[in-house]
Amino acid sequence: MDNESREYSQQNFSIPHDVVPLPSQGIFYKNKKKSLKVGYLTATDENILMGGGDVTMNLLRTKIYEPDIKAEDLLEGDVEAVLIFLRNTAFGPEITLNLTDPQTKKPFQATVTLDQLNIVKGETPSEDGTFITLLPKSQATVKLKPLTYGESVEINRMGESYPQGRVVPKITWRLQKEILEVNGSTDKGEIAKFIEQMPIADSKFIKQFMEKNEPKLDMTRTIITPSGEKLTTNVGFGADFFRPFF
Amino acid sequence: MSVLGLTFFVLSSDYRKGQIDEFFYLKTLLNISYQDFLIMPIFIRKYLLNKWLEDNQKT
Repeated sequence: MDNESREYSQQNFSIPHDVVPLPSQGIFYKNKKKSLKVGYLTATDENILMGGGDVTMNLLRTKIYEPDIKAEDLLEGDVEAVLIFLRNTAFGPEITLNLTDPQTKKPFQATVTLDQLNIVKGETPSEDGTFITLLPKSQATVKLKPLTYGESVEINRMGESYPQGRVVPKITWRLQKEILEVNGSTDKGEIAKFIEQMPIADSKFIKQFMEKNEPKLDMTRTIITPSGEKLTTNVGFGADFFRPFF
Repeated sequence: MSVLGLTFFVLSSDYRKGQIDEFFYLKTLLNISYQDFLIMPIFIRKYLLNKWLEDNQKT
């Protein structure tokens, strides 16, 4: 951790904060921290929210009061938990969603609360926070790790700077970060070659496997539409997440 | 595009006006300094304003 962040985190220990339990329960981190001290949003942070740049990263760096935790090293599910805490303590747990009635195709608004969120629990990882699984097509045994928020941001940035008109190999980049070992080998060259030749079925299997086993909050909500149907929707971190009143 | 879909994860300019209005009332009614306003958790700020309104609507 850089000195500036360390000093910032430490000098903020006296500022009002709360402890946010992490969906990952810290299994995936070296320090095994199960929770984080997170400050409440203030008017100063509202100025961050009104600004440009990487608002999420700036907010996380400012509000996480843990000297040995870097925001970019957190898993996406843990980042979501911190963002929900910040949102709920500042603006309340109600969130208004803009939806479309599947029967009438007419738009409607629904309000849901994000106060009690279940953790989606998958397979328990090994002590070092990795999963070992057998791929269905190639029958290779791979060791996988979930991506951190920083790694996902990096992949997206690489995609944005990729030459226009060419297919961005985001899945390959993702697999290169997720796969740590193939059939016991940790050789980067061998892993890269394996990914290049990987059958689509195996690539899809890894995607589904990680979706099922990455610790995260259950953000799905079931809503009754104006036509009386049940609609299950995923509450995303979209335009209105931090803009509830204006 | 951000990972969590937070590209528009920002507050509007209308929000800034609302924020300054809230400071105006906290300063005028409760003599809260701008420095205190900046570091005050938002839920406390909202509570103070609502409490003042609630108490003064009773009388």
